Amino acid sequence: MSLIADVQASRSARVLDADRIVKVVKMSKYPVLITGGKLLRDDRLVKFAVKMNKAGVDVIACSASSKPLIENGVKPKFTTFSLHYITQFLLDPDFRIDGKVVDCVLYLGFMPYYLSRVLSAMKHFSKITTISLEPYYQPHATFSLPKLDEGKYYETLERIVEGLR
Amino acid sequence: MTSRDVKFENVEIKIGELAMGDKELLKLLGKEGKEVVEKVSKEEVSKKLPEKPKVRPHILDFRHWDMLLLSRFEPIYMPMADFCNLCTMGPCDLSYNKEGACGIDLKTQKARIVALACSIGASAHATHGRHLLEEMIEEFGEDHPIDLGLEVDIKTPNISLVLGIEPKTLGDLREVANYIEQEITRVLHTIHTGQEESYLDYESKALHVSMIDHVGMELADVVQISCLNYPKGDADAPLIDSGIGVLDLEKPVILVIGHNVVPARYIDDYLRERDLNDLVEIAGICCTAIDTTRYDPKAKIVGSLSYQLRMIRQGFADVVVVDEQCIRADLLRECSKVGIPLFTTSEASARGCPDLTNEDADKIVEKIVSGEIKGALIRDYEKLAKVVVKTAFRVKRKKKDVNVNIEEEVKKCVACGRCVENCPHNLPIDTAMKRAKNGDYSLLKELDETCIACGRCEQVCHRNVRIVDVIMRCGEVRKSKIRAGRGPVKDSEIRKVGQPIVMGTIPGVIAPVGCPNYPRARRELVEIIEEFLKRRYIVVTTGCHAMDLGLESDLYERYSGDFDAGCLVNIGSCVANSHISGAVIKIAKIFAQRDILGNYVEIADYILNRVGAVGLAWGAMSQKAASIATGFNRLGVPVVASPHCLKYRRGYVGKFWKRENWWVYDIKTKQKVYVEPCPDALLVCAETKEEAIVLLARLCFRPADTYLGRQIKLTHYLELGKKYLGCYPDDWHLFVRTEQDLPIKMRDELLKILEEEHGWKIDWDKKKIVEGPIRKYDPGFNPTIVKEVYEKYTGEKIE
Repeated sequence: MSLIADVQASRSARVLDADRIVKVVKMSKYPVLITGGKLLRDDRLVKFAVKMNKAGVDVIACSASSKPLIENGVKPKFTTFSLHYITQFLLDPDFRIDGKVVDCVLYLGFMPYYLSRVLSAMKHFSKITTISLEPYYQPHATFSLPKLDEGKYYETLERIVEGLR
Repeated sequence: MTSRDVKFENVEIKIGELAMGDKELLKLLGKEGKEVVEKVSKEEVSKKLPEKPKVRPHILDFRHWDMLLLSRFEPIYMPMADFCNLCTMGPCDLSYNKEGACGIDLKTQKARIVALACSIGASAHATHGRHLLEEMIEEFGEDHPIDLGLEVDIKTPNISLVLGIEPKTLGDLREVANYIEQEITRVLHTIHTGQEESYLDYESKALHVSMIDHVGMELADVVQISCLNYPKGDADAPLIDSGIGVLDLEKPVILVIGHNVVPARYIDDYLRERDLNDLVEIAGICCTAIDTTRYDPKAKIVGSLSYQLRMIRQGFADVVVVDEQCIRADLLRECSKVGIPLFTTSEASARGCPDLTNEDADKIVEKIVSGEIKGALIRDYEKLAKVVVKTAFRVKRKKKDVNVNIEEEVKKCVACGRCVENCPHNLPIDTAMKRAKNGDYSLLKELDETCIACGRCEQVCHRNVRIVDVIMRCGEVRKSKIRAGRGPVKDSEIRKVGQPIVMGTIPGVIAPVGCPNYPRARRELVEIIEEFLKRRYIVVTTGCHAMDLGLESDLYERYSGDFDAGCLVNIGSCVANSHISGAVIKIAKIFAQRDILGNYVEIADYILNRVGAVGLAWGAMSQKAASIATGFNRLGVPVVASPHCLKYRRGYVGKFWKRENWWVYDIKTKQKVYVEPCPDALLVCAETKEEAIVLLARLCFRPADTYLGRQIKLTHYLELGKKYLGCYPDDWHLFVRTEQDLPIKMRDELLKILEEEHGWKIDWDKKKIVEGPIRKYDPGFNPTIVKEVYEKYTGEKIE
C-alpha cells in the first residue's frame, strides 16, 4: 500500500518477464493453465496452450475454449465450467484435480475486466500464485506481464513455452 | 390419483389434486372424504374459511431459507475495491480479508455493498410503483378493480405469496406499498456502520429486499395494466415499429427516456385528443419505450438505453423528455450542445433545471425556444404535454447543425490507445481508426455492434476526437418490429404448460432479462436465444433484452408470443419481470395446487426442485438488475449473467464435487437422499455466448424431472456440449439416474462411456445400469430441502 495520503491500493502485481515466469512455474508443485474465450478467435493462443500442455502443464478450458483445444489434441481437465465456477472451486482448500492441490494458476485469453475481478478474488481469498499471461498489466495478479504490443506478446509466450520444455 | 370431485357453486375441485389448504377447507365444511357432488355456495365457503392471518414477513423471517440456499450456493466475492470508505474512521484497507476500524472484514463488506445495491434497485421500482399507484388512484379512484384480463385469476402471485393477501382494488395496494417501503428502509438500516458481522446475514438481507423488489415490480405493473388498457396476457399483442430507421424525421420527434410511463402517456393523450398524432413522432428509449407502446401501439421504440447519445448527437430528437432511472447523467449538456430542449419530470431526475411547474405553459415554451433556458422541470403532466408538443413544432426548425466530418475526426487520431484502456469493453478503437485512415471503415462499423455509446473514450482523448460520433455514424440504422409487452402469463397457459415444465418434457424456461451492456456484439443475444427457441424451450423476455432481440432480428415475427414451447414472449418493461416470477409461482399454485398465500418458503422450495426456469442477464448493468436477479434467486430460479456482472461483486456458485451439499428430503420415502447437483448455481457468470448456452441448458435440470423430461434435457445438454465445447460436458453423467434418462439414439454410446470412463456397472444383455448413479430414479420422488415442508407433508418430525 502506498503511504501517500489516501491513495488506495493494496498489493499490485509484480511484472515479470518470460524467464522469471518460467522459474515461478517450475518452482510450483502443481501449476495449471486456465484458458478463456479469446482462444475462439485467436489461433496463436490455441497453439501456445497446446504447447504448454505438451510441456506438462494441465489445462482447464473455460469459456468454450475447449473446442479448439480438443481439436488440437489437448485433453483439458475441465471443459464445462466457467471461470466463475473454477474460481469458486480453487478458493476451496478441499479442491483437488486428480488428487493434487493447485498452487499456481496461469491465465490466458480472457477479457481484461473479467479476469481482473477473478484475480481480485484470488488475491484476497487464497494463497494460490496467480500469473496473468495477457498482453496488458493485471494489477490483482501475483505476477503479470507488462503491457505488450502484439509482436512482443507472442514472442514472450513463445519464450515461456521454450523455457518449460 | 383419485378422481373424486366436489362441486361448489362456480367452484370445482378434484380431491385427488388438492393441496393441504383446500383439504383443510373441506374438513371445515364437513365434506372431507365424501364421494358425492354437492352444491355449496361461495358464501358458505367464505364463512367457513378461517381468516388467514395477514403476514408481513420481517427481515429475519425467511433467514432459515436463505441459509439453506447459501450453504449450497456459496457466495463468492470478487471485490471491486480493497478499501471501505463509508465512514470517517476509514479509509480502511480490507485486503486479504482484513478487518477495518469498525471490525468488518472484506467479505462482509462486499455482502453489505451487495445488500445496498439491491436496496437501491428495489427502491427504484418501489418508488415508481408508488407514484403510479397514487396517480391512478387520483384519476380512477381507490375502488378501481385490479383487472389483468379474463384468463388471469391469480392476479398478484408475488404479493399473495409474500403478504398472504389477494388485493382486489387499487386502494388495496396501498398497504402493499407501505409494506414495501418499510422493508426497504429496514434493510437500509442494517447497512449502517457497525451492524452485521457475518456476510451470510448481509446476503440474507440482499435476498429479502430483492424478494420485496418483485412485490414492488408487480404492484407497479398491475396498476398500469389495470388502468391504462395495456395488453392483458395477449399473445398477439401488436408488433411495434422499432429502430431509428422507422422514425419519420420530417415530423417533429418527441423522445421519451426512462422507466415511468406517466409523462409520456400525457403527451400521447394530448396528441391523440388534438388529432396531432399523425403529425408528430413519439418514440421512446428504455422501458418508457416499452410501456408507451403498451399504451399506444402507434408510438415507436428507438431502442435500449445505449441509444441515448445516438439519438441526441445525430439530432434525431427535437425534444427530449426524461422521467426516471437508467438515464444518462449528462443529457442536459448533450442536448444543449445540439439545441434540443430537455424536460424533466421526476424528483429523481431534476438535473439542475428550473422548476416551472407553476409557470404559464406558453411562457415556458417561449423561454425554451428563445434559448433563455435549456430545460425545465415540470411536474404538472397536462402542462408538460402542452409545452412539449408546442416546443417540438417550434424547435424542429431551429436545431443546430449536427453534421460531423468523419474523415477529419479520424485524421486527428494518433492511436495512443487511451480510449481502448478506458473503454468498458476495451474495444480496439485505435486499430479501427488506423484502418479508417486508409479508407477501411469496416472495423468502425463492427464496433458499433458492441459500443454502448457511453462516451468514456472521449473523456480521455487528448486530441478531442469525437469517437462516439464517428462510431455511431459508421453503424447501421436499424428498422425492425418488436412485439408489444403482453403483461402476465395467463392462468390457462400455465394449466397447459405447468405439467410439461415440471415433468421436464418442456426442457426449460429461459428468461433473457436486463440491460444492453453486452460483452460483445448485441447480435450474440439473438444467437443464444434462437438456439433455445429452435429446441422448443419457452423464452420470456423483458426490458432492454426484449428490445434488442427485436432490433437485431425478426424473431418476434417468426415465433409466436404464447407462453408455450418454442415461443418468444415479450412480457414488458422492467417491472413486468414480476410476471416471470409470477408465472413460476403460478405453476406451483395451478399445476401442483399448492397454497401460495403467505407461503413463500414452501413455494420457493417447490420451484428450486421442480421448475426448470433460468434467467439470462447478458447485459445487466444497473442496481435494479442486481435486485431483480437476486429476487429470482430467493425464489429458487438461477440466473446466468454476462462477464461484466462479476462487477456486481458476488455470485452464488455451488461446488458439484462436494457431495455433502447436494441432498434433499424425499417426502415419499421419508429419507434424506443425495441428489444430482441441479441446479448447481444461482447466480453465475459466463464469458462467451457459447459457454452461456451450455450453462443455461445445464441449469434447467431439476431433481424432480421425470425420466422422459431428464432424457430431453440431457439430449439438449449433450448436443450443446458437442456443438460448443467440442465434447460432452464434464458432468453429464451426474444427471443420469437410470438408463431411461439417456437419449435413446445415444444410449449404447453413453452406456459405454459410463462403464469405461466412470466405472459404472452395466448389464449389457438388458442394457441396464446396475451401479453408478448418485441415486435411483423414482417416479414418485418428492423432494424438499425444507424441514418444515417435510414435516407438513409427512407428519413426521425431523430431530
